[in-house]
Amino acid sequence: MNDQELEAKLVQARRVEPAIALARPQQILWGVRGRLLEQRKKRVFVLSLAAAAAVIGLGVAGARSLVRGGDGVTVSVPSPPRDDTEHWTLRDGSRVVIETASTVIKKRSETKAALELELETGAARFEVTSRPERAFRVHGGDVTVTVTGTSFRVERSGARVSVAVSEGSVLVTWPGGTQTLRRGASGTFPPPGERSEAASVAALPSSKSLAPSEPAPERIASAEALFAEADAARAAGRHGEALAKLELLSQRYPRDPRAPLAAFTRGRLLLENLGKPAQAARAFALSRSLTGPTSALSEDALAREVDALRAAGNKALSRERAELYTRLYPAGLRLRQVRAAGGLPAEP
Amino acid sequence: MSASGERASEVAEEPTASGAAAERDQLEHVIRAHSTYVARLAYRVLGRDDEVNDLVQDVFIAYLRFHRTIREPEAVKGWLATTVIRMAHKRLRARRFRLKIWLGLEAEERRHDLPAPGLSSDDRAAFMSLHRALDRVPPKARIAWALRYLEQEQLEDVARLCGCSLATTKRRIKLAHGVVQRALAP
Repeated sequence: MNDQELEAKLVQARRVEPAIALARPQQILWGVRGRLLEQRKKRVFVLSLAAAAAVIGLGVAGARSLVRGGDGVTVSVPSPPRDDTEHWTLRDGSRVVIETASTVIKKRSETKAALELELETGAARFEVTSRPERAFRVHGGDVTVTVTGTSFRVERSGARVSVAVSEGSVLVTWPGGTQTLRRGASGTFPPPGERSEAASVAALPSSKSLAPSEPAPERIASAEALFAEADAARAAGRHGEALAKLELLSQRYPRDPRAPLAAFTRGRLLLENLGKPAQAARAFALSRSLTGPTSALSEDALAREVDALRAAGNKALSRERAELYTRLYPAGLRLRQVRAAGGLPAEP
Repeated sequence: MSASGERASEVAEEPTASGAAAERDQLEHVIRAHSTYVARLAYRVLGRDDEVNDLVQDVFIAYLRFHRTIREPEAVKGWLATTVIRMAHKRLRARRFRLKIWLGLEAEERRHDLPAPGLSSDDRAAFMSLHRALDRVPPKARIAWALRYLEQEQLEDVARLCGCSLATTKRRIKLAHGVVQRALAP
C-alpha cells in the first residue's frame, strides 16, 4: 500500500473514537470508585487472615509453652499492619476508619461531656478509647449509637443503620426503642417493621456525668450525601434508586453546586440505563440551564440532549439543538457527532 | 493529650472527611477535564474497546495515588498521557503472549457500549484493519506509530511520551510503518 492510500485510511481511522460510555467522565468516576472500594475490601480480608493466622500461631506457641511449663509471659495479639485505608486518629486516641468510598462523616457537636458525629452515608469503624466521663455518639439518621470504650462498626443505608460490636458494648437508640449490643453482637436499626421518627439520645445508666440529651433536629440528607448515595447505587446497578436520589437532590437543593451535575447524571441514567430518552432530554436541558454555556458540562449536556431527542424521535428539536451546539461550540469536542445526530450536513 | 484535660476541643483532626472529600473533588475535576483525551489515546494505542475501560480506570487510580508528585497543574495531562503509554505497553506485551493471537483464534472484538453516534462503518473498518496490521508489530514500535500517525503527535513528543531518544523513536516508527504497509497491501 502506498503512502497516499495509507493516508486516506488514516484519515478515516482518526475519526473513530471510543464508544460513548468509555469517555463519559461520570462513568469513569464511578468505575474508579468501585475499584478503590474493591481494593479496600481485599486489603481488609487479607489483613483479617493475617491477624487470624497470627492469633492461631500465638495460640499454638502459648499451648506449647504451657505444655513445657512456660514462664507465664503474657502475649498480646499484634495489631494488623497499618495500610493506606483512610482513617482519623482523634486526640484522645480513638480511631475512625473510613470503609467505603461513599462514606461521609461530619462532626455534629463537641463538649467536655460528649463528642457527637453524624454518619451521613457509607460505613465506618470506630475504635473508641475508654472514657467514662465523656460519651461518644454516632448518629445515623434517626438511629444513635452511644459508646464508652469500645470498637464497633456502623453502616448507614438510607434510613437503616447496621451496627456490629467487636469490643465492649454500645447502646443503640431509635424512636421505637433501645438495645444494648455487646461484643460479638450486631443488628440493623430500626428493626424491620419499625418506622423511623425523630430520634432521642439516651445516656448509659452507668455514666452519671453525661449531659442530658437534646431533642434531635429533623434530619434531611445533605446534597453531598444524596450524591454519594446515588453514586453508590449506580455503581451497584440500582439505577432506579440512583435516579430517585438525584431527583431528590434536584428538588431539595436546586441551587447546590452539584445540581447541574445531578441533572446531567439523571439524564444519562434515563437515556443509557432506563430507556427514557424524552425525560433524559429534559434532564440535560435542566443541567444546561443551571450552569453557564461556557462550562464543559453545559457543552456535554447539549450534545447529549441532541442524542436524547433523536432517540425520542423528535428530529426537529434534535436538529435545532444541534444547530445551537454548532453556534456555541464551533470547535466542540463532539461537533462531528452532534452534526450527524442532529441531521446537519457534514462539515466541508 | 492535654494533661489538665480541660481544653474545650480535644479532637486532633476535624472529623469532617474534608481530606477525602477534597481528594474526591480533585479526582472528579481531573477526570472531567481529561477523561476524553485519556480514553481516546488509550483506544488509539490499544485498538480495542474492551480493554480501554479498564486502562482508563487504571490511569486515574494511579493518578489518585501519585498526584502529589505532579508539581504543576499544567503537567497533569502530560503525566496522564505517559501513564497511558506505560500501562498500554504492559497490556500489549501481555496480549502478544496469548496463544489465541498466535493461533489466530482471537475472538471478534466484543462491543460493550454503544458506538459513538455518527460513526461510519467504513471509518471503523479502516481503524480495525490498521490495528490488525499493528498486531504484528512489537508493542513499543506499535505505540510510537500510533502516537505519530493516529494521534498525530510531533516526533519529539512521541519520544518524550515513550521515554526514549528521538533516534530510537524514528527507528521504531519506521519499523512499524513498513509492517503496516505490507500488511495492508492488496
